[in-house]
Amino acid sequence: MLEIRFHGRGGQGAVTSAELLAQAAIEEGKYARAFPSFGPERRGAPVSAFCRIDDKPVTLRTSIDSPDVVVVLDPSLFNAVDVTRGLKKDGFLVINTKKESKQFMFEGLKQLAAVNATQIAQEILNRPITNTVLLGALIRLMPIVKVDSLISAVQTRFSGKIANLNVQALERAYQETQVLSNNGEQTLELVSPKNEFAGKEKVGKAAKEDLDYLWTELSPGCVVQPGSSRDNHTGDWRSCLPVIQKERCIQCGLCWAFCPDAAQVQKPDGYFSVDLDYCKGCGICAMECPTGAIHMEKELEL
Amino acid sequence: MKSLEPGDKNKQQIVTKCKERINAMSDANVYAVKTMTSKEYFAPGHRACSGCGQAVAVRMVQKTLGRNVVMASATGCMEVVSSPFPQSSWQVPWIHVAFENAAAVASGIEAGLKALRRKGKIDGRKITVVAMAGDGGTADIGLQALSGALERGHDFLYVCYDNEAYMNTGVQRSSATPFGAATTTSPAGSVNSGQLTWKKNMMRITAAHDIPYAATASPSHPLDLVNKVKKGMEIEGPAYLHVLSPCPPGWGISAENSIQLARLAVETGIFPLYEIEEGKHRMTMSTDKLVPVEQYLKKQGRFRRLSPEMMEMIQERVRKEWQELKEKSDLSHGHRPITAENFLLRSPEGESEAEKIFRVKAGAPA
Ligand SMILES: Cc1ncc(C[n+]2csc(CCOP(=O)(O)OP(=O)(O)O)c2C)c(N)n1
Ligand code: SF4
Ligand code: SF4
Ligand code: SF4
Ligand SMILES: [Mg+2]
Repeated sequence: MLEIRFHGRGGQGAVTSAELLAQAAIEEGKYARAFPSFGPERRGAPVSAFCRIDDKPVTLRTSIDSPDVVVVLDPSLFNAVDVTRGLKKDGFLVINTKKESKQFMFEGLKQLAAVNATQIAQEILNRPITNTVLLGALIRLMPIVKVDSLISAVQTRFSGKIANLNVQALERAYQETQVLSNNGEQTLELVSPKNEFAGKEKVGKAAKEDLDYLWTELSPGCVVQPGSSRDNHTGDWRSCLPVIQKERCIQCGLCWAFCPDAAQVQKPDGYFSVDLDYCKGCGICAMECPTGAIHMEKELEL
Repeated sequence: MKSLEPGDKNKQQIVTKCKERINAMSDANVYAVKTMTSKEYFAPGHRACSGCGQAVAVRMVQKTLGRNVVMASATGCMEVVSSPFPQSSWQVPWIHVAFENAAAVASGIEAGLKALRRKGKIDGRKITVVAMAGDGGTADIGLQALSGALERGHDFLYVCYDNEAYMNTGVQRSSATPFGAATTTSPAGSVNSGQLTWKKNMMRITAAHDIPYAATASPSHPLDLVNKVKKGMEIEGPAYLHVLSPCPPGWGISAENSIQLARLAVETGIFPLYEIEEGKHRMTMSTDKLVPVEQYLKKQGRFRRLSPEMMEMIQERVRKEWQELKEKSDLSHGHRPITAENFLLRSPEGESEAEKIFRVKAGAPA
């Protein structure tokens, strides 16, 4: 049985990727099962989806904890989620990056496929929905299913122009994907996000440590640290960033009041500045600023 | 309100444009913002969707409530996004309760605090008890708990965050879903555009319990909202606050528009801002001319299939209800509506504080 785990962000189509791959496998007469992992997170938050393919019926319905292949739809996820968690030794990794791919290689990984999926998706689909692009990269790395079966799954799922564009995206990714095999030297470099508010007081424990708690270890009636959601940096949900022009700002504070995520912070000089850790890039502040001092800019890829 | 072009350097032109905008926003809101605490009681890092109007409303309400509160929060979006174990966005005592019993739990807290005070275990300082729930948790499943708590006369504030459907579970209709809106359980088809019933009027239902205070509020009007929360806290006995909470995915709007849509709901008269204090109605945002409802409805995906006839039906009903409300409000004299003018913001020269700050910044002469 082949186990593939997809990591994406809500709205990017990670779930659709898993389903399309399963559909293609089923069309070829194999057995497959695909499903997403649901959390409390909303649009833009990290999500994962699973796909299992086998020659006999797949009955397992649990999440995939030790995948053979991991597919990462969004480059910013490397900082947000432990994407390679539990990846089998000599496993495979498919990533969306515009960076030099070899820096993502690490010991124990057999092969890595890298493609600048965001660019391909932007150019062909006109939006950063990278799911079909990464499927192209995945089957370039390992022919889990035939290109034709995948195309036919895409055409069944989407219709008309959208289907054609997705097929184009898939084919282009297939061409442009770089596949690297491990020579045992490089290590995975995780890029840390630039944090202008670094040194800010942490409210709870580090999120990862916290997640290792068992509920039985907590005292009855125990309360988790007040405001500990501050450890959850929602800034990485963002695809657009508000940019403030000081010379227009009258320090009215409306951007601050209307921000759902308390991400406008007043500095001692009275001007407001965006807390990159939490700003989800919704654009309300730009819309509501009475003097037009804020405009939204596309967030540059890490 | 579209952004000005970034490269646009003509100061005088900007001054004029900004004045228009500031007036449109109403200076009063700028004033409200200045009075809000910089403390966050609903901390960031919560998992609400980008642009969630409910999160904006909760943040404002909590800022006004301050730290001497105990919250009982029914399940729904705000509970789920703010408290995934082992994290919490809350910086005040907060209890997650079931879908249907926010008001019952708040009643218990209030009675408990009273008993502790009587036994001398806590001092006499005021602790506000607040129940919060969505429209589903209030108008549907939590209605009898709410009715009971109102009838028993507990001293608490109930806040309903109305995003007009069951959003946490993926947009199912509630009795607060407006006529014509498509949800997954009131889908739009070739005949219907969505919900076939009119929105349940929670204000009338709660006011019928003869409670001392009931009000509507919207995050697009912070000053009004802050005032009403304060009143709800101070008034002895049950108070009910119904807060409109635009939901980008559920309403089919883009994230940046949620506050704008809340404002339009008010300005079209679809969601009038008013309060009922000791039985007396008072409109807190009065206008001579209502914006046509079309401007509000057309911006939302959930009303996409609305036919011109249905649009007209909605317009008719809004006009009628607005008129009724106005007549009721006129009956209760002696109340002063909260408008920009009534706030001591305008200097005798007729220039508001915000306008002045801006003019000085832009280097324009008085
Ligand atoms: C008794 C019960 N029925 C159903 C649910 C599932 N459920 C959780 S939240 C929710 C909808 C909440 O809707 P609303 O109160 O309007 O809040 P919103 O999520 O829209 O803010 C439902 C149906 C539940 N938790 N308990
Ligand atoms: S809303 Fe605009 S003018 Fe007001 S403080 Fe924010 S950036 Fe400045
Ligand atoms: S874009 Fe949205 S989240 Fe970011 S600062 Fe502006 S209002 Fe807050
Ligand atoms: S579904 Fe709607 S109410 Fe719920 S978090 Fe998202 S925007 Fe807010
Ligand atoms: Mg709701």
